[in-house]
Amino acid sequence: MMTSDSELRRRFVMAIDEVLPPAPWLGGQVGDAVQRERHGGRRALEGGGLSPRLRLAAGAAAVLITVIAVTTLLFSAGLHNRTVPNPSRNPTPLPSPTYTFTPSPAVRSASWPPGGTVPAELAGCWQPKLLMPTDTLCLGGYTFDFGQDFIVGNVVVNGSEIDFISDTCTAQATYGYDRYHYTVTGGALVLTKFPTSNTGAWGNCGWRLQGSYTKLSSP
Amino acid sequence: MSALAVGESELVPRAKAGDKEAFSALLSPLIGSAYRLAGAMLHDRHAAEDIVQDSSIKAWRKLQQLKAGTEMRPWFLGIVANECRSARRTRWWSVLKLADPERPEAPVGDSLAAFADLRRAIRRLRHRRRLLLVLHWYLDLPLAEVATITGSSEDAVKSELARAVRQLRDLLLVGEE
Repeated sequence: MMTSDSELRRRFVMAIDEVLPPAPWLGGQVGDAVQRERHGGRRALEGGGLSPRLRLAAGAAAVLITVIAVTTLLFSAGLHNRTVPNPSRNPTPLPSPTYTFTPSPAVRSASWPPGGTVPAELAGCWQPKLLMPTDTLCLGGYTFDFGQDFIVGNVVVNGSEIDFISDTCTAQATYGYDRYHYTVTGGALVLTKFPTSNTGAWGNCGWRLQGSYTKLSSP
Repeated sequence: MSALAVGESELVPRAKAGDKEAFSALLSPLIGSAYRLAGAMLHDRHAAEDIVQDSSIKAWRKLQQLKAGTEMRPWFLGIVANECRSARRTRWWSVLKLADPERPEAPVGDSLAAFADLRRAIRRLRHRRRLLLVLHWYLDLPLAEVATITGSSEDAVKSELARAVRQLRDLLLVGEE
């Protein structure tokens, strides 16, 4: 059944409210944490210094360690002649949120601005100097990815100009793009936005990708 | 200029100089919005509380980066949004989430199933689209402020919001089939 936008919005709010009870104590808790941070010089949270997530993680880790210890004991008791597993090996590696950028096999659309694929000097991932560490800019082929899947789209490179293209930048059934001038010098990339906005059939994405980047990886 | 902004213009320099009372005064009115943002992004109250605390500490550490003329709310909510993005990306959090199934804590009845479907559809949205909907629909922030938080133009936010709504509708339809 099709609902109006306002009805969908009302249901959206109710759906979230249903799983998000008020937390009136949070303000005081945060205030304490900030105050301890300032005076103690390190993070201090309620509940004996552990946040709920960390407490849960610690509990899970304790259960895992117990299970592993019991399994190891049973294993060594039952199989005398076999080598005991190396205790130094970590059986539960912690998460490694390493992000891998894979350029999509995008084919150039005739409606894009003029330009070709990302040249070798630009290809790979770049770390911005001023933004969040996760706000990496990855380039390859006709594709780009900013912020590890936060903004994705296509690129074309024309001389020292690079156009970041996305169909999310315009309400029309076409693409929008932002044009930047780029320079690469000794592993440093500088993006400078063109002052004029795109007009006509093209929308303007309004992304703020301008700035300096350092090379993280090459393809 | 809003009343909050007037207060901010006095409080920010004091907080930057190390005045914790001034920082608390700046942060205090934003905690509720930050919690609602994190909760709406992660659908988990405990994770949301963690995110708000972590973001507050980060804001305190990074306060010198708050440029003159920049309002505190979009700056702080931007930090919260980034923390949510990082949190969703860690495998450890995903594992915890798998062990934490949909828990009905409030009304029971027909609406619960409908809202569970809606929450599933929301979770399937790409982070950025979910963020736009949460900021504009759930927190009721004006498009200009959503644009500041997400680093886009107002026009781009408007068109991407329209696409997010369309995608949400599609996901709900798929869920009904």
